[in-house]
Formats: sequence, C-alpha cells, structure tokens
Amino acid sequence: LTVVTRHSLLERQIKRCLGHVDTNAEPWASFLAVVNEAYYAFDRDRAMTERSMDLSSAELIEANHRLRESEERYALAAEASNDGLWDWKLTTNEVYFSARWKAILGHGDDEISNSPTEWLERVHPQDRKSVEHDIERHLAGRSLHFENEHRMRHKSGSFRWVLTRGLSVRNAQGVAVRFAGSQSDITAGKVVDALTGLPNRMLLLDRLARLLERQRRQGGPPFAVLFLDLDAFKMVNDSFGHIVGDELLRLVARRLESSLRPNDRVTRVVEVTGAAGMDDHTLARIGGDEFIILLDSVRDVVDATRVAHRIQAALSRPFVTSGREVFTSASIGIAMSSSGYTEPEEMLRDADTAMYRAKMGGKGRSEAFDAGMRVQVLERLQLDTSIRIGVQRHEFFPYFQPIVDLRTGRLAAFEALLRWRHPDRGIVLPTEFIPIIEENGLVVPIGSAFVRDVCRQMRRWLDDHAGAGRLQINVNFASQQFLDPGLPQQLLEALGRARIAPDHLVVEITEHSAIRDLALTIDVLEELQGAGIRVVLDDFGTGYSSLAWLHRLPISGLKLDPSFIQDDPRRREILQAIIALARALDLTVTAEGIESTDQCDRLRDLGCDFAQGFVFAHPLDAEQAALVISPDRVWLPAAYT
Amino acid sequence: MYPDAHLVGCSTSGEICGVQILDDSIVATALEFEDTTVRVARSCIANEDDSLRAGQRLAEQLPPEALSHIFVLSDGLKVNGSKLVEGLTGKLPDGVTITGGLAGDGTRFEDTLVVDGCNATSRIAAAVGFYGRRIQVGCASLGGWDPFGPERFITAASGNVLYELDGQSALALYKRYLGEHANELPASGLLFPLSVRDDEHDEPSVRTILAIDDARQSMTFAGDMPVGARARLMKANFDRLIDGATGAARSNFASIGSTPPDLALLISCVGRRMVLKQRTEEEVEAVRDVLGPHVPLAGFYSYGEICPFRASTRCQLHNQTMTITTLSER
Repeated sequence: LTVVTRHSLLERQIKRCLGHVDTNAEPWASFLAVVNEAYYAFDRDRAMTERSMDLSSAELIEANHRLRESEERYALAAEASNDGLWDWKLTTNEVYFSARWKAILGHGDDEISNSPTEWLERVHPQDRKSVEHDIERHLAGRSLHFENEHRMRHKSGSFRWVLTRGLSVRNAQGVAVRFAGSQSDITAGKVVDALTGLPNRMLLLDRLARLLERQRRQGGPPFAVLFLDLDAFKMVNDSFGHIVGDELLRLVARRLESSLRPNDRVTRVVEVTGAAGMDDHTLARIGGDEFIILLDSVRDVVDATRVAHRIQAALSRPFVTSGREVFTSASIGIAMSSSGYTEPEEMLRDADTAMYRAKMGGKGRSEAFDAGMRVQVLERLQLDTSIRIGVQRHEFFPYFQPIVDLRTGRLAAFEALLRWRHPDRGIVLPTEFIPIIEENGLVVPIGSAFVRDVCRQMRRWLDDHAGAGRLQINVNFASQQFLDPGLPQQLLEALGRARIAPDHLVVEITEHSAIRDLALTIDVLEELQGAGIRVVLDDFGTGYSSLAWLHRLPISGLKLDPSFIQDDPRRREILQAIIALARALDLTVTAEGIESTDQCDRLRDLGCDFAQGFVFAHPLDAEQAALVISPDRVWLPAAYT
Repeated sequence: MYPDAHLVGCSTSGEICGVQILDDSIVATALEFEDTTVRVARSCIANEDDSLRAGQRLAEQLPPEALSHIFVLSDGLKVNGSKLVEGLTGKLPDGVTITGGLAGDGTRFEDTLVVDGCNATSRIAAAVGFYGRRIQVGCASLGGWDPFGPERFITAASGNVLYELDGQSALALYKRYLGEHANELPASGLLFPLSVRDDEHDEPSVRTILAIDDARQSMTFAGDMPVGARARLMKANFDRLIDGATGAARSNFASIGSTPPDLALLISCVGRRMVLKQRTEEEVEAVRDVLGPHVPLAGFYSYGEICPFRASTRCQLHNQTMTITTLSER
C-alpha cells in the first residue's frame, strides 16, 4: 500500500513537534511512512465500521417498519374475521388466547389464564379424545394441518360448536416448538341447514329430546312428528340437474313454512340459536328431500293428519323454477308422542317407517305409524335388497307376448315384458317390483340391460328363423329412462352391437310419462324418430289424454288402455272416435287385453290395426316364443284372413 | 539434511516463524519423535464436488490402529472445506482429533499449492497421521468476530456457493456494505465474514469469501451455505481479534494440562491479517504470552482452519479464527 500524501493529523503533529527536522530523510521517512499508513488504516476501519452501522441500522428500521405493518395487517384481519386466536409456545407450555377467543366462550379478557388446560378442559367430554388425538397427530408430524370441530363449554354452562385450526412451527430437528391457530364459532352453521335455512337434524333432535323430556316430567298434550319425503325427487335431480333440485327444495321449504302459518307457527333460523320457545312448532330439513315437522300441542292423530293433508294440498300446486313448472308431491308419515317414546331417534324412525308405508301405497299420501308397519316395511326393505342382489346375478330377463296384425291374422310383433326369476320364489311379476325399482332408481340400469337382452334375443331369431325378417319388438320405458337425454344413443348402441336395424325396435312410453316434461319428451322422440326407431304411446286414454298435444308428439301409434275394450255402447263410441282420430293423425292403433275372438271381430270392424291378449297367447319365454315365429302361422280363424 | 523425512507443507497468505510474520519466505519446522510414528496420506481433489470423497480417501490411507491425531493441509480454493472435513471425520474412530488448514495465496485468491514430498501442486490435500500413546495433542480455535445487523435467511445457495439472502442478491448486499472497497472483492469481503447457523439454538460457524462471480451474482465461501440456514454479517476490531487469539491459546493450554508443549502450530486466517495489518504480530505475541517464551511457534495465514469446536466435539472447518495445535511427547 503506497500512501503518497501524509495524513493531515500526522502533518500537523510533525509541524508542531518536528519543525526543525528533515522528515524526508532517514530514519524519519520510514518511521513516518509506517505511522502514516496506520493513521489511514484506522480511518478506513472507522469509516467502514460507521458505514456498516448506518446501513444495518437503516435495514433494521425498515425491517421494523415492515414488521409493524404486517402486525397491523394481521391484527386487522384477525379482528375482521371474528375468529379467536391462540398461540401455544410448546417450549414453555404457555398459550396466548386472544380476547375474541375468550369472548366466544363468554369470558372477559382477564378471566382465562395462559395455560393450555384452559382450552382442553373446556372441550366437551365426548369430543376431548378426538381433539387430543388430532393435536398429537399434528405435533408428531402425521398431519399437515390441525383441524377439529368440537364443542366448548361456554361460561353459561351450555356448549358452543367451534372449528379450531392450527399449524406448528418446527425446529431443525423437526420437533414442534410452537403451535398456533384460530378458533371460529360455528354453532349457527352446525344447527342450520345451509340450503334452506331451516333447523337441521342436530337441532331437531335436540328440540325433540327436550319435548320428550318435558312430556315425561310434566305430561300435557301430546305432540306429533311428521316425516315428509318428496316423491320422485331423485328424478327431478336427475333430469333437471342439482341446481333445479336445490331450488325446488328451497321453494318447498318456503311453501311448508307458509302452510304451517298462522295456526301452526314455525320457528325460523333467526330464533334458532336463541332460547326458542317450547310451544313453537319446528320445521327442519334433515337431509336430501326429507323434512320434519314437529307439531306441538296437537290433540290427536286426527289433528295431525289434518295438518298433513293441508301440507300436501299446499305442495300440489306447481313450483316455478328456472322458468319451468315442476310438479311434486310428498309422502308423510306421522308418529305421536302418546306412544311413549324416550329417545328422539325412535320417534323419528317410526315417523320414517310410516312415511315409507305411505309411499308404498302410492304418491302423495300420509300414514300414521302403527306397530304392524314395521313388519311391512321390513319386508319391503328385504325385497329391495333381493332386487339389488338379483341385478348383480342377472335374474331379470324378458318374456314376449305376441302382437297380431288384425288384417292378416299373422304375427306382427312381440311386446317384451320384464320378469324376475327369484331363486326361491320363481317368476316374480312386475307389479310387485316395478314400483320399487322406480323408487330406488334401479329402473335405469335394469332397463338398459333389458334392452340389450332383447336385442340379443332378436338377433338369434333373425339368425334362426327365416320368418323373423319383419318381426318387431316393443319395449316399455319408464319415465326416468325417458328423461335421460342419452337414451337414443344408448338404444342405437344396443341395436348396433346386435346388428339389428332400428325399425325392428318399437319404444313404448305411457301417456303419463310423456307429459311429465313434454318439451324434453318431444326432443327425445324426435331423435328416436330421426334414428328410425318408432314410438307408440301406451295406456292411451287413461286420464291425461289431451288432443292439444297429441299431434305434437312424433309417434307412430297408440296403444289403447284395456278398459276401452269392454263392450258397452258408450265406450264403443269413444273407441270409434279415438280410432278416427288416429287415422287422421296417421297413427296405428293397437288394442291390449283381448280375451275373445268376439272382441277381435269388433276391433277389426272399427279399423283397429293390431291386437294382443290371452286370446292369442300369454307372455312366453324366449324358447316358447321361438316356436310361434312363422310367417305361415295364422292366429285368427280362417274367416278373418 | 533430512533424507528420511516426510515433507508436508503449503502456500500461504503469510508465514509465522516465532513471533515474526513473513511474506514470500519458506518456514520449515523439523519434528523428531522418540516413540511416535508418522504416516502421510495424500489425495487429489478433482473438483469441489469431489471434496467429500477426497476426505474419505485420506482417512482410508491412515490405519486407525493407535492413530492419535491427524494434521491436514489442503488446496485452499478448489475445495469445499466443510465436505473435506466431513469425509475425513466420517471414516475415523472416535477420539482421533484433526487440525489443519487450507493453503493461502496472499490476498490474490488465484492459486494455492500443497507440498507433498518433492511436489507442490494445487488440487491436492495431504494429511499427517500421528501414531502412538505418548503423543499429546492440544487444539483450540477462536475468532473474536462479532455479528451485527439483522439475521438473514439463506434463500438461494448451492453447496458453498451463495446467491441470495432474504431473497436479495448476496453480492449486492456485500457491495453496499463495502462501499468504495467493493472493487477489492473478494479480498475485501474478508472484512465481513458471515456467521451461519442452521437453527437459532445452534453454535454458528464463521464463513469467509473465496471468490465472487458478477455474472451469476454469486459468492463462493470456504464452507457450506445451506438453504434455510440463518446468516449474519460479522465485523471485528483489533482488540477483539487479539482477545480471540489469547482465548484460543488459553483454551489450548487448558486442554493439555498447562504444561508448556514442545511445539505450537498456528494457523490463522488471512482475514484477520487484513484487519490487523501492522498489528498482526500482536496476535502471535498474545499466543506466546500464554504458552510461554520457550515454546517454538510456527505456522501460516490460511484460507480456512480445521479444528474441533471443543475437545469433545467433532472437527469442523472454521474461518477467521486463530487455530492452535500443540504437540508434545510425554
């Protein structure tokens, strides 16, 4: 390091003390050079130290500022979120609980210490194990986050539901040293059904338990539980989507509320979390399409049934959602407290059983519980189970009933009919199981398999019988199947796989199914028609017949309800008119349930095209059916041909 | 003069001979033992990533039976000193101590050499194993630097190359602190060693800069820079450094039972010399004051020192310390 100029201090010192000496001569020159260098070194070091101190203090000031801002932001967020905060230093086993944390439990800031027991000992005894387990799991590193819903004892002695979340900080060895998080009061959310705003199952059971307890201690008038289940709600969801389904549930909730007013007052959510009066009635949604009405102070079961009927009347008016009208009905089961229940679940279960019984009897009905019902319902549940097993074991298969062309007297088609071969009971008729599979939704998979089976059978006949070339097969479809927009595609696939032309298949749909959603029905029918599959309207004339929409349906024929076949002059005239109408609309007419040749005569004279019934044949299994496929076989006396 | 001697040495950033400090000289120390035997091991260091294996190779050449101490000298630039030491200690039986240092190259940081027999080359390390029951070795190491300013997290690093502290360029930070001395990097970086620790409860290690790379905005240190570790800048003044040397000598003396040893090998960091400048000799004198006037002193200024933190702990790489190894035969 060469220093050219002398340090100013050294220069001054030389002037003061060595004025008479030649400092450029040795030994002064070397000596002063070293001293000079040391002076500069000191200066540099001091300047560097000062600079470092300034810079680091500026850095620390800025860090401090950022920290304060972040602390403020955090404090604001904490205040705004309404959550309580806790911060557990595991090294000292001290917990900071925020004022809000304490307030959720009804305590003032100075009423709770910083011990972890303040938290754990307030946890409801039934929840303590799960809380401790989850904490342990998280601290041991077996869960990324700690999250637990549990009840905490409030200062008042009651319990609040809280959601506690937390996260731990670990040291380099992976040991948790700090554990902090939030506590939210979720009591309201726990007892209220989010979709409808009605009390949920938990609150209902609580309310019911209190009513039962009051009854046990004080006696007084009985009360009733009405278990309400919407009919065919699954179909609304499946065909219109969950948004419409949810909207319908909300509308039903509102309709129920107003139908229970003013005589049967309803407790709304606003009052729910407070101390609701015990005399109020409670309307709750306990899941899916199930509503419960707790009717306090009803005189007897007649009284309760009257309320049930009023509710059903209210629900029978259409609901408008997403611009479309949706019809629904409800099955209602009634259980009376006078039966001497001790557990709320028992009373709910019996009301459920009664509802199930009501549903078995048809839609839109109500039933009061009696002990015999349990057996029936049990049987029905067993049937449901064996149907499910039956589906897995392929116990469902088609029978075939001939349809005869009245003009030629020869076989025109088969109507494929669903049968169930039960391993113990033998062949089970559809009347016994169709209502069940329509209710539990199995009608769709069973129906698809059925179509495939029928197509395979048709293929065999086409291969084996020259006379099968123009044979048709009619297959019935339930409305649930029909509301599936994928149906045409599914049918074409089944046909394609069996290598069968679409005009061999005739789809039968009942009048009742067709009008369930007319617009959608027309869409599907047009698609079928476009694909070359014909459609006939089944059970025509059973009450929904409307000339207004008949011409809009892309169908090729009508099947008359058997009631028209009875021989009385009035019906004869109606039949004549229907056939004339069909002619005008270019539709074929098929008569069902024909039992005598006389009936055949009459129908042919009236211009009816096809007929089926016991006069020709009962439904046949595939083997028997194969025997009757022959173009030469004439089904009617020679006089007709 | 010594035809059977094992020759081991290295280039330096200053030689210590007695209490004198020299440049551009050779200091030779001849050791003769009555009972103690000596073996020398050597290994190439292909590149920095080979450092761990190089340490292992050295250890493998030294039979563990009756091994008491290892004195190691290594290339000072083309090595990750932490890894070298890790490789060495990992293969040794408990109770064997290691001391030594990384060769220096003045304040140029360009090329360092290790002497092994008649060769002096870079990219090698040589280790001397001392065998026998009578050899008594004392070792101690102390810095005297003080951390200052905020604690920062190492947010980007790879091996001993540091990129970012708290998400900001580490090189930019150093330049800001060095001000007008920034253009003297990497040497001037020795004025601000880095105190590094994995966790708040760990004992920090001191790390100095070996090289910088402006293009990559990176700084290469003499030891590991683990991502997630905490780092603080350090500074020193004369008095604290000289106190450090005194402390190292006292601690060494305590470890050998306060009987003056036969020889003291001093390895001190070049960073200390840059701060102490004209007063550098004072730290050597401070050591002599503790050990006594009759103990021969020899050593050098290095790019890194190797020594256990305490007699009981495993050996580690240090920077910016005065490291003292004393040898005696009892």
